[in-house]
Amino acid sequence: MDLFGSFALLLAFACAVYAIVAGILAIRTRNPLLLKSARHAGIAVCLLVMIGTISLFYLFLTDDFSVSYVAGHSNRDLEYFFKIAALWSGQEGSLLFWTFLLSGYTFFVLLTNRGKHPELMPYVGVILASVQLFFLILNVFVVSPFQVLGSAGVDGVMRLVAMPDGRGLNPLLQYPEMVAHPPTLYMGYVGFAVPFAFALAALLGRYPGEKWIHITRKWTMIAWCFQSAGVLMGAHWAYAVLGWGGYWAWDPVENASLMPWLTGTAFLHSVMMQEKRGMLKVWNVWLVFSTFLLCILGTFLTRSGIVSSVHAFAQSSIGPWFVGFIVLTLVVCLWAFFKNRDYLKSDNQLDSMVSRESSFLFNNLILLAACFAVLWGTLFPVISEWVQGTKISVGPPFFNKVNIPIGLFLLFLTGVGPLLAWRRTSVDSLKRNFGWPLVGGLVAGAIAWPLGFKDFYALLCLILSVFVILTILGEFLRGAIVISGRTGMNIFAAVGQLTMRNTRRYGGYVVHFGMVLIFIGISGTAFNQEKQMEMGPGSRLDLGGYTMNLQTFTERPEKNYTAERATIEVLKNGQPLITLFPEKRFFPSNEMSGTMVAIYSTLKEDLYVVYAGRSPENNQPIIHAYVNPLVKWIWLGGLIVVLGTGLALVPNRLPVLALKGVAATAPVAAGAAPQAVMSRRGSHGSDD
Amino acid sequence: MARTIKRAGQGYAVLLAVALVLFAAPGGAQIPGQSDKAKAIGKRLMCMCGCNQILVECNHVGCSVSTAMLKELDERLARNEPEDLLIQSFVQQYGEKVLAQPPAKNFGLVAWIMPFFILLLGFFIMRAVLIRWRNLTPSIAGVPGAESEISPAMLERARREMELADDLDGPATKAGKD
Repeated sequence: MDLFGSFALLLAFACAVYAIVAGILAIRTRNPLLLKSARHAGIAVCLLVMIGTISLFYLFLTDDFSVSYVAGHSNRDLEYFFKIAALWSGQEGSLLFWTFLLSGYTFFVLLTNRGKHPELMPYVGVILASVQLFFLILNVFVVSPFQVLGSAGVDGVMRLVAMPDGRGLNPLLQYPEMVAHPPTLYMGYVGFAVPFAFALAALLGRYPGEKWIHITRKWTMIAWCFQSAGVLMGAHWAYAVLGWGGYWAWDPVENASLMPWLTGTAFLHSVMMQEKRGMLKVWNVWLVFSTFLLCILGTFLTRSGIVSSVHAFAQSSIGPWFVGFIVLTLVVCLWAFFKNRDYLKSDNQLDSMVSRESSFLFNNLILLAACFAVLWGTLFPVISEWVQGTKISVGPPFFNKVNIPIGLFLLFLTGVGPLLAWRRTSVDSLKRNFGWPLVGGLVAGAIAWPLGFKDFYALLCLILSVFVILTILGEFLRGAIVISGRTGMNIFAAVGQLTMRNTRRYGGYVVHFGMVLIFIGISGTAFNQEKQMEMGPGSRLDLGGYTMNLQTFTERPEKNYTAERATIEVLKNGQPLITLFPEKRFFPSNEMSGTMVAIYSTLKEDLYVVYAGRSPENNQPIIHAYVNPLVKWIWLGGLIVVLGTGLALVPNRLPVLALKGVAATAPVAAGAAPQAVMSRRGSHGSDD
Repeated sequence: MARTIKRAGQGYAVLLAVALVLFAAPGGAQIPGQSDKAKAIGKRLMCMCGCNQILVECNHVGCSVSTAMLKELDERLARNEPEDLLIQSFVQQYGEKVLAQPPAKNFGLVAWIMPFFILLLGFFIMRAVLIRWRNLTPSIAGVPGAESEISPAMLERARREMELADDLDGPATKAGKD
């Protein structure tokens, strides 16, 4: 099967080369047969990569320890569930998985656009095949996951060998979320290749208008949604597994996933300027280019060993390959831009400084400043070593101090931006839209302050959060009241209909609401409490109103590990609340340990209990407990962000023509008329 | 679990109220004492085992480096060494990389200044761009007779009706014409 997989990838490599050459020739000669052939080669690449990936899955599931990658990342006792995750747990497999996802995207792009956009698609095919080719070069020639183990016999001849059992999967990865987190994040990273391909193709082919944006809008949102979910799942995994009490450590790997998310978010906003007003064409193209390049840069940072990271891959030889690819991509982008920049001439006109246009520009500025701050902080240790010969560390305190003010300003814009009118916003409109939300925010702050809410940033976050939530609610209510007044339906049904009439706009508001919840959750960090102590059976730990009694401490063997487990009874106000079981697991296959944190989670706070090991002096278990307020709001906010994005992807259901008739011939039975006049319309119908 | 779900339901229903109540929850005031001081100082230092984590947050099981560093920290605190002197001794021992954030002097200052410099630069560039765009926009005042025929009140009314149309049907966009 390893040979089968290797051969499939080799064939995929050959097909990718053919897809590029045939695609370029087809663009030059406009030969339809050649074009078709190139597209078929592109589809063949996808199928062959899929075969290669399935082959590797098979090797894992059948415990084929003659393959080096399988032997290094799995073992017989590993649950099947985790054998799936083992595929992307190492350098070679994760790169193959990356190629696999890219192939999946390419397959659907080629298939769904078959026969459409004949001037654009040949370029798109060539660009996507080129990206695939880069990863296939790595998969086939640099870090193949199908390398077999060999050993020289007494006669000096190399023979294939198979290990009796594998070294096992890293304990940190033996957590259910690791089965979903990397694929989700990769779907985000890889997904940005699609808008990149369309943007570059439009530039190279001087494709007229904003069509590439309309084509890629859904792809961009899908990639962004996966990236958002992937980043948050990574944070949740860090929270539940790493056992240090937090969810975001500003580790280079985390930063690498955040940077393209920031530029992708900026793109999703500024793209509306191009759609609505024909503005920012150059900016949008470069935002897409930057987002894709940051995805590759992030991969380079985590795999080259250039920056230290708690969960980066070990230093390897593939760093220069990524540098080469980034430089080559940048050169192609610059060349295409300077060659065809006149095609990006925008209708840049601004009626007023107080308008939706300027708020989007502010939004972009803040998002890019945040991205720069993260990139700068991530690279500064390397830069400082290069400049002055000694390394300067950049840890969480730096990132927090720089990014919290930027983030709060972004939160403010989240409330302000959507309510400013295009072209010009009048003073009356400002008062009408922002008056009550602003008062609401300030009142919330005034109530919270005397109740002990003294941290400046957390208080500001509360005021802004209430302000943004009220502006969002106001937007829904205003529209729903108009619909309700016209049709007589109740306000909740009117909200539903309003949303379904303009899913992009109201889905966007739902996303904003989710982001506010995330901000609220993050602000809870200001009130974290923690305590660590050695605990014998019967001893007690008090923290944040909780009382923890250590009842028993046991050691029990499991199939793939030995667990040391503490049984802790938790009381709140003297009443039994829950029993928690924090664990430390020892995996004999690779002689590594892992933590299983026990969390009692409510909307108010998390009680987070870690069994931190045994005291070297008296062998007593050390229990580290944290009370982390509002953490659940982060995960809840993430879920709402994903749902909001899903809503924004749903095609609009617009009432066509008949609404005017409804207004003219009212009264109409509540709820009857709208359904009668509804008709489905494509997703490009309207937006905001 | 049932209790959690119930609380979640309540939270959805009265989001704002819950937010206020939760925000008003008592803060986590640190208990004063030597161990808290050690924690506070430990948060200003990095673990030198290569994990790239804050000293007091290194979660490596049996990490000998962080254990030794924390022990040294405790011992120095027990000798009532001043905080700055204590941190300086760690810098002498491990170099500047032991600090969790760049020092606000020499080259370390560049790390702090640069993000805000870029933000400020971006702001001024953006302002210049916005002014330029506004100057490119033809004014309605330039149209003969326009000022006398379209009053500001009428313009405001037209704008409101456009906003209403936006709320109901979504704005007519270029995309919409696709």
